[in-house]
Amino acid sequence: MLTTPSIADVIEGIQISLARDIMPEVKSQNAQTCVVMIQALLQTIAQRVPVEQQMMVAEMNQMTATLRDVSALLGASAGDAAESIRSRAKTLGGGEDVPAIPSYEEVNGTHRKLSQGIVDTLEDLDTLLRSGNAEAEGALTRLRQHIAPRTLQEFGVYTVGAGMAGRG
Amino acid sequence: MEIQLQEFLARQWPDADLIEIEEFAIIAGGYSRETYRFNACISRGEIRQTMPMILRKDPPAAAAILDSSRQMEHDLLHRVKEHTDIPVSHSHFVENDPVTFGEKAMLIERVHGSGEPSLLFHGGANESQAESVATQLCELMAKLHTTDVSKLNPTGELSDPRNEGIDVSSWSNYMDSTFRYYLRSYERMAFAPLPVFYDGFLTLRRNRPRELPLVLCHGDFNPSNFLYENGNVTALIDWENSHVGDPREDLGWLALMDFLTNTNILGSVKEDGGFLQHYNKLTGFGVTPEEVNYFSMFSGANIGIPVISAVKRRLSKEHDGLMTLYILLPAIQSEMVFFQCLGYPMPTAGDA
Repeated sequence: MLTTPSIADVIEGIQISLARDIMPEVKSQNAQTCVVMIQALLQTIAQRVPVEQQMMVAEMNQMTATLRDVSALLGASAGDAAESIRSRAKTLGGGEDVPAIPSYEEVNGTHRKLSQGIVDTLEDLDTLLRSGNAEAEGALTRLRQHIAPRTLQEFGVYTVGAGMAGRG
Repeated sequence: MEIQLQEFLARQWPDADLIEIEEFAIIAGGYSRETYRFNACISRGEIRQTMPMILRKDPPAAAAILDSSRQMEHDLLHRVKEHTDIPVSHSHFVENDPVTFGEKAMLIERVHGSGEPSLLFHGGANESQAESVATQLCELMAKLHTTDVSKLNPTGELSDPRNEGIDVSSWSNYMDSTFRYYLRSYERMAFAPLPVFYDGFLTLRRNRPRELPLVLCHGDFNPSNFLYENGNVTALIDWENSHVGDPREDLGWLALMDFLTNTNILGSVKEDGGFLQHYNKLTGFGVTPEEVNYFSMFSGANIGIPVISAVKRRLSKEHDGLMTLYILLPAIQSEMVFFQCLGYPMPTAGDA
């Protein structure tokens, strides 16, 4: 998976182009307002994507703890409502904590380091192949078995329609 | 820009009484250069002449996806016209002073014809012209590749147009020096680790094909770089990446771009049994489909290196153009061509 450019980088590029290339050509006030709204919505996506999964997991664990705490604070209170809270604390609040997701920067950094390791290994295998090492061919095949599916995934993620924009 | 054009043309044609610029408009879709269309209307006494022209201008250096010379392109267009009957635009002027138009530029004839190859294929309005146009493209490529290279490159400037140490003294030296250029350029283009491209560069070096004579390659022989009308190719355009190289480079690049632009030029020739067979009959080169695959990667690297390097400069914020961000998409799609040419194993359950 290519993690560069980040989603925030791409959105920033779109925002710059909207402001510089599109906005000056937009004639009606309504359309200009739409561009401003689009800019704002794009900004929220840029801010949301890198933290969304981490925030959701943290909040899930906080919610289960909160449901349990609320139930405990009611002590031996009686009545349907209290029973309902106790029951909810056991069901929804009874699950194991979900493991925390590392930050975007942490995942991205480690992914990049490992990917560079794959590239460096290609270079080393090339050296071995050129020196006639018989085992290197099988090792290269194994490396390509890893590269192949990730490339296909990448292709799926980055393919948008056919052809190249603006080219007849 | 119209005023600059008017003043520039007035300097070139001092005998004109009046020069007017009409119908000036930007042409969309030029990825490497900024192109504008206009009519230059020249009055000399009672005579008024209208010349359809194109201003072809360099982008700012940091945003350029291909660093090429307008002077070189201007000179080459003249030589192609002089030594072949390949249809090309007449290049009227080259302006190397960036002050005039903001960057270096050239003014060329605007040739008539459609620049919409997509209309030739997949049920498009011009589908009936596809076979004829594709056959002519094949023949024009063969003609270029069989033209004496010394006539098209008399001063040697197309031997190493990027000044990367390419040695055209023999086919073997050409390949070796090009591999060195590709491998040392990887760092310049790797905005992230790009294992498929790097694997491709290394594999190219390990598996060189048989030797063929070095010729002048168009360098960007792709489905967007020709104009056509009534089943005829009216011009081959965009000669900026021309260089002395292996003739299979143009074949490989056309195959790659046929895939990327969703056209079918290679599949539209019937004469002699197909594009490659027809080309081989005309040139005697005997190119195989495997060699076309090899040179799809080879020429993919040739153009990919400057293009993806521009993407890297964009991502490191040396400039902020949208196009260099967008061009990341076809660049990644071109990985698939490398993928296929390298014969990557198709994934099965459990692969990781």
